[in-house]
Amino acid sequence: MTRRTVLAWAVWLACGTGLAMAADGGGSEGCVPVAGGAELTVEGLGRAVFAGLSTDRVRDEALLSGGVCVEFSAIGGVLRSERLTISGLGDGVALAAADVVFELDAWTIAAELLEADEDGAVLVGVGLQSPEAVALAAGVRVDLVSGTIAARDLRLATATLWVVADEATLDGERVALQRVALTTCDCAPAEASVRLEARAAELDLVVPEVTLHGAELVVGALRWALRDPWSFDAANLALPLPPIAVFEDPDGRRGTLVGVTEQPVAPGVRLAWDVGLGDDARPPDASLRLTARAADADGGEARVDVVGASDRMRVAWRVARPLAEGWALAYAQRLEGGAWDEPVRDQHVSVGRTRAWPTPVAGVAEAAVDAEAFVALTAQTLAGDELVGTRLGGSWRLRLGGEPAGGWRPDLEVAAGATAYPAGGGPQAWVSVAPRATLTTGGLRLDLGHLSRWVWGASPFGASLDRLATVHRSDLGGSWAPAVGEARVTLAARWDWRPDADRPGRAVGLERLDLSASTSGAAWSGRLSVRVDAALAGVVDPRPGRTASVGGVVTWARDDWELGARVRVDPAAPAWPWSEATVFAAAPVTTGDWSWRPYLAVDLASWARGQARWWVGHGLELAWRSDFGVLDLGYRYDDGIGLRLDVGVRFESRPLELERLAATRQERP
Amino acid sequence: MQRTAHPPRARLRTILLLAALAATAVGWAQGGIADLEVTAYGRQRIDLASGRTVLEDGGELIERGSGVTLVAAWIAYAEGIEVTAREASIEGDVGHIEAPRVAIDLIAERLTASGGVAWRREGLRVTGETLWFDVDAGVVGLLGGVEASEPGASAVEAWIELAGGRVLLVGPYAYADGPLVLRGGEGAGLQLDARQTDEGVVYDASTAIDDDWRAAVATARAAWAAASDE
Repeated sequence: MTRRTVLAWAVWLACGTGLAMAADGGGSEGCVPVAGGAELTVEGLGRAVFAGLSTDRVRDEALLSGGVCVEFSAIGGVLRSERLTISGLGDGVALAAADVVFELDAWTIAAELLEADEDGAVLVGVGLQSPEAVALAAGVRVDLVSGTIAARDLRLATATLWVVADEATLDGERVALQRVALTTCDCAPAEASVRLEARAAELDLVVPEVTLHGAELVVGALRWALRDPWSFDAANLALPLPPIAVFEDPDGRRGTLVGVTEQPVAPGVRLAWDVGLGDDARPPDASLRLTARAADADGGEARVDVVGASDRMRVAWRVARPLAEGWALAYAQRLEGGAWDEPVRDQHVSVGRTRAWPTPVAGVAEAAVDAEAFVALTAQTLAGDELVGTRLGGSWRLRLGGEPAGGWRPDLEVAAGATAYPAGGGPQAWVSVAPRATLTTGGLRLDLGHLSRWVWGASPFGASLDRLATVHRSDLGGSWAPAVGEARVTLAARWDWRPDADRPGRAVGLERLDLSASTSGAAWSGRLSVRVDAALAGVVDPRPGRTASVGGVVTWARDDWELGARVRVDPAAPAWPWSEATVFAAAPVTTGDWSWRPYLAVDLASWARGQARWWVGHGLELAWRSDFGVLDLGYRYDDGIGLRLDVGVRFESRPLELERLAATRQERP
Repeated sequence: MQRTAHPPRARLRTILLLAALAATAVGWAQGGIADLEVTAYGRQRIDLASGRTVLEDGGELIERGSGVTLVAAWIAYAEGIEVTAREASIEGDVGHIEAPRVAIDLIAERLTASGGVAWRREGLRVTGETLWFDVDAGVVGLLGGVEASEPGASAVEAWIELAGGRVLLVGPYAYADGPLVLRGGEGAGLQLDARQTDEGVVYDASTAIDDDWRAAVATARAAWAAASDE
């Protein structure tokens, strides 16, 4: 069989067998006996069906013909050919055939020649096809014991990659490559001006992901060594951009901030930073927060928390060492300086014990107790005066985990503690009870919780250290995902049972009542998403500090088109209730290999409110389509969603065509 | 008791000879007829009206020229017509047949061994329900539950060509040759060609059946079917 014939076979397989395999999840069907044919079992190899057989004992061989199909028992592979010779009938059986198709796992291998014995099959002039890749190889050896496929001089193409390698091992969906070059270009690596070369590589065809060892990025005549190993997603190469966000200072002190929320930067280390933009009343500033945590195998733990800002600094760290039988000894230090409201300097030594055990009590699955005693030397500045003293205290906490019943899972936490202040001031003691129950059934989840904490006495130190307040509150949370479409409904409510200082005889009452509902689905040849949310605490019980708003977002998207509207109404507002009536749109503009996608959001209600800034959102997404993929670069800012940056490379899928692969040069660059 | 052969017994001797030939698959059917030696182990009853002789306690029929011997626990023969025997064995220097029942049609020149036949000779050890031999066709058929240890095979039917040494297994069959085990479905055929080598008789196997051999088997089988209907 000529190479052209191999290709024809392989292309036929790609169009027929390969697609059929993709449809049924891959894998080869076993050999079906030919009508009127025979079946042959070869000891140590497997089973063969065929239409005709003749043996020649003088030449010590058998010739199978007519729809020959061999099942290799150890690996489940199937070999198909029109003629197959079995030799060595007396000792050491061997197979030989021409124009064969070998099906193993997801791979279908068409070859000009095959020779096999009990250990392996060698195929020459090979075209390979799987649902995820096509390949050509000068030679292939199939291990008939392990089922791995070893190829030499391999040219392989996936939907996004072109690969050449001196040697390769194909094991199911994984390909291990030696002395490899690859590119996302729609061309052979030898012809690609941008490519990767590596000593070795692993390619997962399904994920798809590539891991390179000893890799270099080659751009023209320039080479850059990459870290070893280096992995990338073979479908999308998202550049590691930090998730920059624009948000208001949660403390309300620094105004609008631009920064990165807490992100992992190393194992156990997280970093966050932001910059305050400043305004007429506040100068610009910067803030950084670093947390690091490490643990050893013995249960020891160290934790560091550093906050640095233009006007303040905090360093807090804690180390803990386990002692015998659940006991642990810990030392912590907290140092604050600068413009903190109540800066603290604290040295804290504690010893504690944690114990958990299954209980024999009906309905209670597990119990756990934490107990701790501590001594601390503390200094804190309160209202300009520095208070220095020691603290001696202890706490105890019992957690009971209930047995699930009827979809409900109850649990209870009871805790108590007391602290003495020898330097002055009475002791502070507290007891808390926190029952909780969770219902999970079908698409419904409900969380009911309550916390009551009684406090006797008061700490002379501030609330930022250890002064406690009485708490009596109940929370309800829930979500429901009906089995229709992608709808979802959520609820969150909180009731504060404490007496209201401003309204004698009444409780603080409803502090939060939030409802939201969302759904999405196909509509008008695109996708329609609808979301409605309401914060009703301020409507039910209008008071300062209660939120009252009802709003919603409707978005229709199709391809790169996006249209939508966002409205928000304050039902409790004394005058104009529309706090937002925004329409937004994004539309693609394509010129050659460039695509532009501007975005604009306009708040129509701002005119009615007399505000000058009517545009509340803007953005621009740029895509450049090249032979190597699509480079995406863009941003979007919207008051409703904040800032989003997008930089990355998309690799466009190409059809798996062996003929295109055959037209490429085989050698590595 | 010992008798000297008489001319009417010539056909019987021929059949016995050919039966042995069938067993050994060599063409000594055309061999010359020599003395037939009859030995009764006990009582012997002769029906004068029909000319049928019954060796009620068994006996031996020996063809002196070839040495072929029929030994049976019960033998009846009618000169020039038929021989029947029970618990019989046919022994020659080239083969051995054992069968619960043996019937030889001296007129049609056919032998039927039934009730579970065992046949062995060099390169051939086979059992089956029935052995059928048609002198004119020169073909021996083993029918029903055929099992062979040499060559390793099983089949519904096995047909052996006396002159050419060809064998046809009719499926469902299984044939073992070294590391190969070959199986054919219902109605499928496998031709084995016996070949004498230094190591003994070996068989080449082929699913392609020679046309003349297929026709010969078809003729023999039709003859057997017709005889069975009778």
